[in-house]
Amino acid sequence: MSVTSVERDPEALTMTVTAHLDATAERAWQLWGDPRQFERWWGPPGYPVTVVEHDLRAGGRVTFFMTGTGGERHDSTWEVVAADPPRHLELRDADINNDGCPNDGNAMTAMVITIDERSGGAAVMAVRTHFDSLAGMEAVLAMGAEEGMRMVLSQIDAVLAGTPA
Amino acid sequence: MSALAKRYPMSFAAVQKHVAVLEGAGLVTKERRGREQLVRTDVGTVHRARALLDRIEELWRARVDRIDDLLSNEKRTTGGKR
Repeated sequence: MSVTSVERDPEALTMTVTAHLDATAERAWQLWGDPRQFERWWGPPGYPVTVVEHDLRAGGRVTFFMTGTGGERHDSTWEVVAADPPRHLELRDADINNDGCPNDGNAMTAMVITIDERSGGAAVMAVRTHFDSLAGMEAVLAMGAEEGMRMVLSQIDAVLAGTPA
Repeated sequence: MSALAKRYPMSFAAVQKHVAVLEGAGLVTKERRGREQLVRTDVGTVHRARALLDRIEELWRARVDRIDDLLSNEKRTTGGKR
């Protein structure tokens, strides 16, 4: 079970990723609702995620940071726009600097997560991300780019070691 | 702009609003020529947006892989219980 569709709109700057999960809707909700769970999948390998604040109710906030290999810290703050467990969650990015001040003119990213349950208990999770600018997309990729590079490097290692990547 | 609006099943004002959003995102540019307002797609920006979406898609595919691992490890350790 995994990603079943990816809808992209390069003009509207939106992307919807839909995945079938081997879990109930309640269990799938915990991926977001339980900060310890969230920490285990949000960040790429080698970039531990630490959730600082986690109030997943409308008007609440989620703050977390990722630590890079060089010890650099990437902070994220989300505002919870809507939360209706276990089916619907809307988050809006409200990025702040390391000193806790909002980045002026910072791009805002919004995410709408919907979780449906098929008969037999398989959850279908759709995450729709809306970017307000290319800068916002680049901010999202700040860590992803490094991850991509690491993947490439590990593949090179595997090739050099004579084993399939 | 009015020629553009005719092609969509929405009001001129609604099309104007959409164009303003696209302009704000740097995806189109507006240019006045006489009485006409021309809307031009910024091909370079759309191209860049597409490249960025490629990488964001990869990011999400990797996340879903991690979610799958998390869920299947849990099933193994709890003997198949959900």
